[in-house]
Amino acid sequence: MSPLARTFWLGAGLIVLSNALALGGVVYNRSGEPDSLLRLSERELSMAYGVVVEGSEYAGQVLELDYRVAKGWVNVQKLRSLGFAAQDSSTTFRRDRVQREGLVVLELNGVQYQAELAAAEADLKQTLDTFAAAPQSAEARQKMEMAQYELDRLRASSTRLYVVDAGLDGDTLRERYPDRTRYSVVRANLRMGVQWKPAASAEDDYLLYADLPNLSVPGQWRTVFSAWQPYDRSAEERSKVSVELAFGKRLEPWITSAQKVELP
Amino acid sequence: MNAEQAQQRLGQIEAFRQELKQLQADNVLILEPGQRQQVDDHHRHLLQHFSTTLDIDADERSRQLSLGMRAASLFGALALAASLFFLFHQFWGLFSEVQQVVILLGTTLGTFGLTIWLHGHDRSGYYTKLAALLAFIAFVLNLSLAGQIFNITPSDKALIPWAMLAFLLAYQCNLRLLLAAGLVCVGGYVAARVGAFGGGYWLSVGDRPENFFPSALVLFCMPLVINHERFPGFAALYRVFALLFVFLPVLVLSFWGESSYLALDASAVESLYQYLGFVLAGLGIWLGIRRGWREVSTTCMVFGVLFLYTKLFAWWWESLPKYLFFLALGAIAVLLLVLMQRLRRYSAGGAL
Repeated sequence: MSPLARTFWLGAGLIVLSNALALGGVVYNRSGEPDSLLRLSERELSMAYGVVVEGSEYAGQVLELDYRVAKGWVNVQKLRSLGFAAQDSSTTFRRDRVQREGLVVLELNGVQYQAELAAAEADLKQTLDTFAAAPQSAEARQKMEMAQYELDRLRASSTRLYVVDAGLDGDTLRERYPDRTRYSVVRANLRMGVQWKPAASAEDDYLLYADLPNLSVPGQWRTVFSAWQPYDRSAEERSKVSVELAFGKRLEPWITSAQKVELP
Repeated sequence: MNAEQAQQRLGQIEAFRQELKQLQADNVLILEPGQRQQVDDHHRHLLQHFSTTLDIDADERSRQLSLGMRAASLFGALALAASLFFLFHQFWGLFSEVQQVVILLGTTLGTFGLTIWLHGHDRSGYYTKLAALLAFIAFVLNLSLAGQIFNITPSDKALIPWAMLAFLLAYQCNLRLLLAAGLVCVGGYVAARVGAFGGGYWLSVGDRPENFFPSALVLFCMPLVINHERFPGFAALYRVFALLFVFLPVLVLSFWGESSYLALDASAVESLYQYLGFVLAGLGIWLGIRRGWREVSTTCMVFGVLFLYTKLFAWWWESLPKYLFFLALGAIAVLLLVLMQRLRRYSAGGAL
């Protein structure tokens, strides 16, 4: 065999093998029963920024998950368990801004969301009582209207997806959250943060930022999201959809179904 | 013998002719007519052979045109690669996942096959270089877009096949541009592994510039272990990239001490790396001169001057009037000139 022919087969073999390995991983991830299956709406999804080609109706679509990090579980111990060098002083924090790979638990329409709803309802009741006691007060009226607005948003358009835990071992997290239709264990890039306060940070002033994977929309469901724009930042601006999102054996996601939801 | 070696030989022949002419004019050496004829015939035969088998530059005009062709080849390759990239993104939504995979794989294999075919038929090498860069970019797009289509978790392992293809094309087609691409992939992979070993996310490798130091060591040692005589310029490129993987992080750390692994105050880290930068530049110049590695001494000299001027800027820009600041820079440049002139005289056997 000539050197050129040998080079060609070597290179072709490398290209084919690399693709086979990548696609083999995809097949493995999607084989068998998914690790979790979530049914999301336009409240938990939005079009990702950074579209390469503006204005092309044939360009690929990429979605991102809209979520919030639940309060009360991020503390120094948790951050240290994730490998961050969290200290009591925020000075050291500035030096540890590296990202780390980890796993987070996403909860859909669960305890955290219900707790926030309950808190918003209680807040509204309190502001209503205050307003009733002082109906001439502009401040009381404003607070009541704001509380009503927040509750309406929480009920109708805010995301119901919350990050409620994080760790490095998927099996341990799955044991803790066994409901696979409500909790997903997802790969994420994690960064430590701190709530700025004039005084030194306390243990529970730490924050955790999680970058979750984007979701490519398969061609057969493009039309479901055709009206969405990257700058639609509120769910109210997006058409209503129902999307089934699966996470596989390698905790990589894929969209298994997507449809528009017609209002009655 | 390849085109580059033939071109060097042609340069030697021209230099020989010029020197012989000068020696004749100075009555130092006059060849017999027979000897002269023999030498001229030999050179003529060589030039004819080089012209027919290898696409070399026979004169200065050809050399200048070749330079333009190299630039056109590089620019064309980058433009075609960008066109491919945007073509995929423009029409991606028209295709199913299976069609997308077939297109990606087909484009990569097609451009790679074209490169190999051109290499067998293109004497000049410019079209081969263009196709090779396109093939490499197509392969990078192949794996990147496949990852995006199927939401595959990004991994630094993709750098390995990219590096392998780049090296295959570089060594088969004698292309330094593809070697540079391969070195970037290898250096990036080693740095990502070092960063991941320290617990960081591999894509945040730049958050800790010291991650690149092991890459520098690996690249610097490779030409010492692997003989590159058949590949002119390859060993030099390994060394240049090794130096870049050292000096750029040192430059960054001399201003951004917080990003260091060292458990010291940021200002202490910055001072440490400022001094280290000067020391490394000096050592590199000495090593480059001693070993005859011109690219090493040149690169170290450039970074030494860069370190010097960035520190002078940091120290004096605010405190000195602008005319004095630039006067000081100019005076330091003159001092450096005098110093290097004396060093050159000393190395040629004169006094300091």
